[in-house]
Amino acid sequence: MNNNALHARSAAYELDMNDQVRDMLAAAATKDPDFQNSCMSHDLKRRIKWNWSDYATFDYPKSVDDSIFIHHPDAAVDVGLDGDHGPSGLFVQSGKDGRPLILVRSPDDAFLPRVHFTLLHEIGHLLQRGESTLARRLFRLEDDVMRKRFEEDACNRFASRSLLPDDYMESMFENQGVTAQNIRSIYDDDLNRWRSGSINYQRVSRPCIVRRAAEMMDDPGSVTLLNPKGELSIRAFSDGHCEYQPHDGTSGVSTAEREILSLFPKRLDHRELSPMQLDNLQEVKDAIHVSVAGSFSGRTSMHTLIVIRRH
Amino acid sequence: MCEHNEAERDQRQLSSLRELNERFPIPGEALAVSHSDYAIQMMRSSPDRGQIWLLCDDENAEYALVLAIGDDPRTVVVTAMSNDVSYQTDESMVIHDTPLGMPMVVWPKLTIAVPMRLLKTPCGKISEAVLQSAIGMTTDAGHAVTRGKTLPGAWRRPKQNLRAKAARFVQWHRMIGLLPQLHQANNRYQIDTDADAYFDALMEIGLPPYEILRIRNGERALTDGERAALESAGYRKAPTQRQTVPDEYLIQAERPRWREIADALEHRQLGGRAESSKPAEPHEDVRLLLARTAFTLAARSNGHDQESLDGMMAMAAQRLLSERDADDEQ
Repeated sequence: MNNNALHARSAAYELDMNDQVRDMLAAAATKDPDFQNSCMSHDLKRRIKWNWSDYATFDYPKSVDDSIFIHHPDAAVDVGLDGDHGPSGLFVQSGKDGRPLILVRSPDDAFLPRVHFTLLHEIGHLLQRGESTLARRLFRLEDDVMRKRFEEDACNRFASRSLLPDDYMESMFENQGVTAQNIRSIYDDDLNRWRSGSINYQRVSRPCIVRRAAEMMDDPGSVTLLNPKGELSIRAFSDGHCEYQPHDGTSGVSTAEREILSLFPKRLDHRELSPMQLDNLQEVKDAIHVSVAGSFSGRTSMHTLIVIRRH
Repeated sequence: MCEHNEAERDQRQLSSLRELNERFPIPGEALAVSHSDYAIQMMRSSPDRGQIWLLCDDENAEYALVLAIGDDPRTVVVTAMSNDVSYQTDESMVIHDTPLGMPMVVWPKLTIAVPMRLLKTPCGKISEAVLQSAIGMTTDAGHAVTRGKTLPGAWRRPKQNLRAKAARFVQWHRMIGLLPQLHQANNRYQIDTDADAYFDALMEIGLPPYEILRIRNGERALTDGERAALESAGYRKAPTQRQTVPDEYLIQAERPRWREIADALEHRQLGGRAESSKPAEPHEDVRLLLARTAFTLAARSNGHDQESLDGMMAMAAQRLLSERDADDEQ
C-alpha cells in the first residue's frame, strides 16, 4: 500500500472514517464499560482479556508460526512492524472453539506499546466484522481494495484513539495547541505514570503519539519524529497521511527540517521559533508556528520532535 | 539372478557417466552459479542488467541476457542466447568467458520484452563492458567477445535454430498481453447506493455481519438456499463488485522468487482438484491468486516496501499451499 496513495483521500472518506471510528469506540464502550480505563492502564492486556472474554478468546503467545494458516485458513493476519515479517497479530472470526479469536504475539522482550496497539487493532476487526452498523459501512464500498484500506485505517485510528482519547489529548494541548513540547509531555506523562522503580510500563509509542497529535492540529501542518541517529521515524500530516524513512539509505529528513535543526545546538530541550527566526528560513518562512523538542531515551539517546503549522 | 543383472547394469551406467564427466567436466563456474546460496540470493533480488537466466515455459527453455526491466515492471527486456556455439550465425556474437564457464552465443537483434515469470534459473552475470561489446556487436580488445559466423558445413541447422528461437521469443512476448491488468485499483472512494438494501436483505435471511462481509469480499459464495431466499424476498441484484488488487502485489507476484511457488500451485490446479473452498475460476492465473491472497491477508505494515511485500507474499504462499494440502486430504 502506497502511503502517498492514501494522501488522495476525499472529504467523503474522512467523514465516513470519523463516523466509523466514533461508532467503534461506542461499540467498545457498550461491550465493556471499563474499556477506556483499561486502555489508559498499564495492565491493558490482562484487563482486555478478562473484560472481553464473552466476545472473543484472547491469546498472547511468544511466537506465531506458519501452522497458524493450517488451523485458521480464514484468518486476517497483521504483519509485524519494523521489518519483522512474522505476524504480529491475528483475528479469526471462528477459532477452534467456534468463537472469535484474537492472537497477539508477545515475546518476553516485546515492545509493549506495539503489543497494545496490535491488540486494539485486532479488536477493531472484531467490531467491524461483528457489528451491523460498522459492517454496513464496509459493505457499501464498491472496490475491495478501498474496502480493505478503509477497514485497516479504521482499526489503526480506533487503536490510536483508544490509547490516546480525544479528551486526554485536548487536555494536553489546551495550552498553546499542538507543539513539540506538548507532544513530548504526553510521552513523558505516559512513561512516568507507570514507572515502578526502574521498570517502565510504557503504554504508547512515540510514533503513535505523533500520529494522534497531527490529527489534532487545527491548522495544516506536520509533526515529525527523528530517531537518535537523526533519521526520519515518521512524519505525520494533519490530513492523515504519513511518511516514513525511505529505503534508499537516505535519512528522510526534509530540507525544511534541516533548516530548522541548524538553528539549534545538538542537545535540545525545546524551542519555538520566533517570527524573526522563521523569516530567515526559506522553507518555513510562511509557517505560523514551528517548534522543536528533544525527547530522551535514557540519558544520551535523543529523539527529536518538530512541529510545523502553516496557514 | 534378475537382481544381479540389474545391479550389473546400474554399475555399467554409473561407469559410463563417470567416463563422460571426465571427458566433459562441468565447469566449476557452472557449479558455482547453481549453488543454492547464489541461486537463493539471485531469486530474491530483482532481475538485473547483465544477468544470464534460463527462461522456461512448460515446453521450452532458452538462455537469455537481461538488459533492463521493461516498461511494464513485470517484464524484462532480454537478448536471446545459446550455450551451443555450433549454432552461432553471422548475426551473432560469441562471449568466450561467461559465468557458466563455457562460451555462449548471443543474438543482439533478437532483443525483446518477455514476462518476468519466465525466468527460472539464474546463471551469473557478465560485466557491463562485455555486455556493451556483445550488444553493440563490437569485438573488444581482449577478444572476450568476438563476431559469430556460421560455421562451415553447418549453415542449415543454425538458421533453423535461430528461426525457432525467434518464434519462441515472439510467442513469449505475446504472453505479456495475457498478464493480469495493472492499475485496477483507482484509489477512489466510491459508494454503491444499492448496497444498503442488499445488506439488509442478507441480514433478513439470517446471515450475520461477518458472513455478509465474507460474501462481499469474495471469500465465499451464496449457497443455493440463500440465493433462493433472497430471490423470494425480491432481491435479485447484487451490489456492484470490483475485485481489484494493488499494482505492487501484481508486480511482486511476477518476480522469479515466486516461480517455484507459482509452479507448485499451477501443478496442483491442473492436477484436477474437483472443488475449491474458494469461488476461484477453474484455471485462474496463479500469480493473480497469489497477489490477491497476499493483499487480503494483511494490509497493516510499516509501509509496503519490498521486505513487507515479500513477507505477505510468503504468508499467502503458505496459506494457498496448505489449503490445497488440506483439500487433497479430504
